[in-house]
Amino acid sequence: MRMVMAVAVMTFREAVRDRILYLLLAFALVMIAAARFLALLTVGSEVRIVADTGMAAIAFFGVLTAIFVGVSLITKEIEQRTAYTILARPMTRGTFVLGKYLGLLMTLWVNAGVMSLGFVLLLALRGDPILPVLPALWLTAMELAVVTALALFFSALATSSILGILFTLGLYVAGHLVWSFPLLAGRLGPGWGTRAVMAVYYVLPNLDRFNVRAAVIHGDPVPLEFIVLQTAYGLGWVILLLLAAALAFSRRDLT
Amino acid sequence: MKRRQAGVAGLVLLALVLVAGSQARLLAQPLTEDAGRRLLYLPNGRFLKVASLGYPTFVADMIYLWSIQFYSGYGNRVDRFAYLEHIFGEVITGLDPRYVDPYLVGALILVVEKQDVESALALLDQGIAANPDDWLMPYEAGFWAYDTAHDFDRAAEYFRRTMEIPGAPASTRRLHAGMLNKKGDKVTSLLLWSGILEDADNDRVRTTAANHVHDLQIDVDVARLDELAVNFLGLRGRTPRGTGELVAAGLLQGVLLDPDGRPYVFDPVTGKASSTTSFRLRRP
Repeated sequence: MRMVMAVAVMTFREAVRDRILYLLLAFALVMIAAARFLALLTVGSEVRIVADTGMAAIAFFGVLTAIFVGVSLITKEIEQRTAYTILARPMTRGTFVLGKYLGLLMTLWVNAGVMSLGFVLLLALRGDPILPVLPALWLTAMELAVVTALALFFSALATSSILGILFTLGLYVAGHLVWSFPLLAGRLGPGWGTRAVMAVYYVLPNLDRFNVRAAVIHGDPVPLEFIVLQTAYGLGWVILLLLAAALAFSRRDLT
Repeated sequence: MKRRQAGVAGLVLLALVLVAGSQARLLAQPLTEDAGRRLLYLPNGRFLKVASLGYPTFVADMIYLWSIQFYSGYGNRVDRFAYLEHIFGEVITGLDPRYVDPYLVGALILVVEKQDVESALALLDQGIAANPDDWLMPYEAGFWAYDTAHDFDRAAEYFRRTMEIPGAPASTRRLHAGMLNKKGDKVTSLLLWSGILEDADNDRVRTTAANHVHDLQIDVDVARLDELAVNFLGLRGRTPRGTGELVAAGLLQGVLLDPDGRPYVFDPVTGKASSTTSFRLRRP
């Protein structure tokens, strides 16, 4: 565990030096602040516009950071040959992958925390309710955990960062379109096509279920049971993806 | 080195002149493009939902914001309403069917700007179907049906639906009773106003309800007496002289007095009943 934490801390220090992190954070904060001005352009729905824009900015820029920083984690270590020095120590590749993951997740959650703080401050200044947005922020953090694991998996698998980014983006998009698969299956009618679509439906991580922003802006309650189950669902995917990433990285020829 | 710096500075200056100069000329030109053409390829909200990649409500917000600027920025162009129903009824509300404001604002633009109350009511019907617990849309639809379409039947129905939704303002009950009166269903309207009078919790509502009950009672009584006068004519071959004769003929159980305790009178020629009491409310 000490090894894992050592890699995690090292990854965190390395990630916070990445300029793209600050660039995306700045964009997100500007967008959250812009929500205040966007609300001036609307007829009604000011609270909705501010809340929706803020939550969407946190989720969108959080995911972008997870993908762009996450994918380069292992590929960069290999390209710069720093992985060789680290792995020369008495450390398994699984430990390395887990440490990398925790370090990046720490970075992303700190990043998301800063964005959330800015958002909550904005809501407080306007006198808008803060409590209802908390489930959405937590589930966004859980989605980031899954996307980070996904990015790390492709980072361990792909030979270049570009490929890793494309694969992760592709799965992120598919993960948000999972809800439409049963509709597609309904159109196809009975047969192999439907079975194949439904198989993909069950196999892909359903990332859209982490999105409770619509419920929050419509004032619907988000039950605690749902939050707990969704957190468990996210944790399950993180474990699966990290195991797959460790396996992929252990089979990678670094000689 | 200095020559190079001067060259770069000159290039920057040239670029700035080009950008600022052309921009100033472009902004001075009147908007000639076809407003509808800009919206021709705006897809249906159901497809945009797929393309929004998990951000359908945010995309709905952005298109809603854009639509408000669009409809306030095209002056009196004839084609500015070409895609109004598409934008509000399909794009924005297709992305987020529970977004109430686009239904309300879309209906408002359709009624006030396009003067198309039927499309406005259709848009509000769509919103009511998607948001059955929201009282604002049937309330608004009732108002447009009454105020603009003068369709009291539909207005009464919208207000009836509004009344059934928790949180609807108490005034909806009065509006419903008023619409029934306007469409000619005086008996039901009297019943509703009597209920409102019973439940009134302030003097203003109590006085209003009492005035309506007073006038409607006269209307209902007069209508009933007119029917009985026809029956009386059939029996006796002449018009009745008072409600006492209707009682004597077995057509009425007791002498009927108006809400102020005065007797109703009959026109000796036409047999039409009327009250000697003045109505409290202005008659249309």
